[in-house]
Amino acid sequence: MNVLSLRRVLFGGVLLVLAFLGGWWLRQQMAALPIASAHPSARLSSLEEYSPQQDTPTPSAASENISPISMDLMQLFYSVYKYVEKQHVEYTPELAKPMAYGAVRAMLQSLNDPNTRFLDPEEARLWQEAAKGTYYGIGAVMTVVRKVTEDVERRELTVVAPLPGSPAEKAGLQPGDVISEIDGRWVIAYDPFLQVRRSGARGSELVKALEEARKRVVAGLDLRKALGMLTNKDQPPMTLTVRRGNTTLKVKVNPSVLRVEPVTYRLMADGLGYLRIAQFHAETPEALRRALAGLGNGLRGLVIDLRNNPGGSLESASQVAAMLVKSPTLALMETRQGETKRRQPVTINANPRVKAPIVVLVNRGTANVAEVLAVALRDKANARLVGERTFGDGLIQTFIPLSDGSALTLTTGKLLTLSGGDFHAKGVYPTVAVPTAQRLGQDLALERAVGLLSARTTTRRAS
Amino acid sequence: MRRLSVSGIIPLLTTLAFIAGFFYQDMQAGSLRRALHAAQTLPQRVSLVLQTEQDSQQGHLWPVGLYWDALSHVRTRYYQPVNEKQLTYAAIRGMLAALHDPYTRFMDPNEYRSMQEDTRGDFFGIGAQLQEKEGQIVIYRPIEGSPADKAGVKAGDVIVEVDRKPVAGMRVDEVVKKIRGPRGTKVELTLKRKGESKLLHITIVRDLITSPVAYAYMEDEKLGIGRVRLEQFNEKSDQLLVQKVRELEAKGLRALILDLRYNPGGLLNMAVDVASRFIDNGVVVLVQEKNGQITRLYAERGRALKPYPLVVLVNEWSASASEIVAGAIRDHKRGIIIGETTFGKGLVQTIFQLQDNSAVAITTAKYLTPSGYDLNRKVDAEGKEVRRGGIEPDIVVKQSEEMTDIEDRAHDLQLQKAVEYLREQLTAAQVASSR
Repeated sequence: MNVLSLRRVLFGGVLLVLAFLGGWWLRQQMAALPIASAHPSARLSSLEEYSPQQDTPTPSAASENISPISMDLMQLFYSVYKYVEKQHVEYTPELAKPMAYGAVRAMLQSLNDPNTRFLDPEEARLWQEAAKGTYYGIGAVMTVVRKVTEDVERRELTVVAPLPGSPAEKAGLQPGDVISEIDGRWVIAYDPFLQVRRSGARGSELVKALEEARKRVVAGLDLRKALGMLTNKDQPPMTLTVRRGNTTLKVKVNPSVLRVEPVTYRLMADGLGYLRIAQFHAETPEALRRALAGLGNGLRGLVIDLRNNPGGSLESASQVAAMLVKSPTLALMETRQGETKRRQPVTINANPRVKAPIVVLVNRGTANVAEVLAVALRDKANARLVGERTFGDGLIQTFIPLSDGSALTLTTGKLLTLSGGDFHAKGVYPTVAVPTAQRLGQDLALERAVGLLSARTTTRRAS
Repeated sequence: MRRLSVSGIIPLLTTLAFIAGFFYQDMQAGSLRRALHAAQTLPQRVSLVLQTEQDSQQGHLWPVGLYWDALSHVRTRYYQPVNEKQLTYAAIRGMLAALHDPYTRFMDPNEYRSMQEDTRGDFFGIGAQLQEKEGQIVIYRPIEGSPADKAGVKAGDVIVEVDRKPVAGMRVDEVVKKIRGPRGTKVELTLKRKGESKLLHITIVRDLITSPVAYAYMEDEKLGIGRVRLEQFNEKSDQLLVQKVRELEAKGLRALILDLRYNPGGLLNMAVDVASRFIDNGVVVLVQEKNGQITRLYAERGRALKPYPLVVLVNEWSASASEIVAGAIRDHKRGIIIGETTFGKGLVQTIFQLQDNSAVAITTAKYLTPSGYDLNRKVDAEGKEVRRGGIEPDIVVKQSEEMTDIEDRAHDLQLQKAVEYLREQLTAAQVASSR
């Protein structure tokens, strides 16, 4: 027997062994999954029957090596579901859906991250529409901000930005406003029992506090319900109780449907252009391309207004940045890999079309990818930031559709500025601080921006 | 030529080896039928293993598919490290919560272990059952003669603190864990009692809890109106009931009050045995299983006591087996029910142990009274009551606010009503017989 055929035989042998093991392995995996027959029928002997030695499926040794995601866990979940399906006295197939949704919702809730949520198909649809620029309800981008004060964790429903022309804007809602009540019902922001427990109240004071807490929870709205009301166009006009800084005010909002124009522009005096990017969604890059063409090549300066821009998709922002910034990267993104964090650059295909000096307007409603773009413009396009400190939301939520039309929004990473700066919960400070609230139709920030650009062009002309 | 045949035979051999591997365990077991069955179910099983798209769309596998999908995304993409086991436990709890059945619940290994200790009874405590009511931990009732009872703990007391630590927002099992401890050690409860403005601080010595079950009282010696109070339904209940009735009979019993107030239930077969003492013939309870299949449980003949005029006393803490007995007596028109509408629990749970020593309790059947009445209180997704359930008494008597203790006869309006009712019955019977 020559070497070649020996090799062949060896190869064949190995192949056969592998195939055998493959078949065996597959079988072990199957054994790990209980099929209907594995379920004992309940005996009726007591009200709380205790039957520890039930014929439950046994975990198989092979499941350890299949994949890092434990088959045991899946088997556990599967067993419970099967037991309910086969044994629960009131189980009907219609319950499969609420059970599925309940499971995923609770699983995500256990992560204790208010922006990582399960969306049922209707909620998922609203989310996707919003990502394309159509808003239902009050027309504000909202987020849940976690704060810990006096050991009590609060989750505040916070306005990131009212969108231009939205009911929220008309009602005078401002970035950073905390919505604490809807029609007088408390938006449950913390566990009042926990607060009572930690308050150290004693005696009749404690009793009163407990009863108060119970009443509040019973009458309150959880975040999901509150968000549902605020994003429902058919909701009758609502009175919102809003906390702004140290003051509390009541605001009446009339929900409707809003289509956000992603980019608007106009030519101003002295060859200056004004460009407002309201949101980053799928149509924003194309709208910007048209706007830049409309503004022409002869610009002497450009104001890019990112005020009340709540962000949007990173992809959209990257394409926008490519037209404005001469840099191969827009930002850094921090994600998790196993137990460690890693940073990766968000690359862009830079082809800037604006040669003129740029001033960027920002305020507390400038959030997320808009904040990243503002910083990139500052650092890579020599732009000045005029206005107020930005919102400080660096977390990236990824929309993940599931098979039946429902979806997850998962916090999958954190945006950092190109230099690695973490602006989450801090915000980006402007180069030139100017209050951005418009008073009596006067836009101080814009005037300041125009002033800066005029001075710059004048200086240039003089030199 | 030789080459060709080898290349043709290799896939065949490989396939055979694969199949051999697949059926290896059956071949070992020597079961052809199993092997064939496995072969039949192969496609479904493989797809289950691999969690294909098709599976997650199949209605009956929806929860599993969606859970799996979501977990896969979370574990790979979520920004922070995650604990897959805790995520799975949370998912299971969320799945069960969608059933809106508070008795169907998941127990992680710790919770399951402490539940097993409960059932075995080899624990030391204060002898009081607790219940969560509207977010508060309430004493369901102290067991007679237990440390809690002796220390003056009363049914309805709200536990505000254990050892001066607030318990608001905790679950019942968490509070129970805090109250239990080694025999002879002390625990201090801070209680809020209805009608008292000040909180009560009561120190109790933990002890082994043994529970007497039945008590006999002669309420009216002249007319012979006796009362037997059953605290719960355990193995001794029936035997003790008979023993207590015999004691009363020795004192001239002519009418009986069966007091099931604060009786949380217990064993089903005891409920049937006790009911058989009053109903000689017929159905005691219907057990409705899944798919609406109904099993009738009949009274055991020849065990009935003398047909004394009968009143059953119930209140909102009479649950489960108590409700079965009261319902059977009512449906058979064997006696009348006095008191308040009962708790509304007629469900059987079966506990299934799971592979990692966690467990799930699932409501596998429910009880209907002989006339088909569903005992269960039902709430909807919002926690609103859809049906009250429970046994509504023939004569509703609210308990006096002033009643401080189950032994406080002077304020026991329900008991007074029962005695008054039986007096009328006995005198009416006397009048009738004297005519």
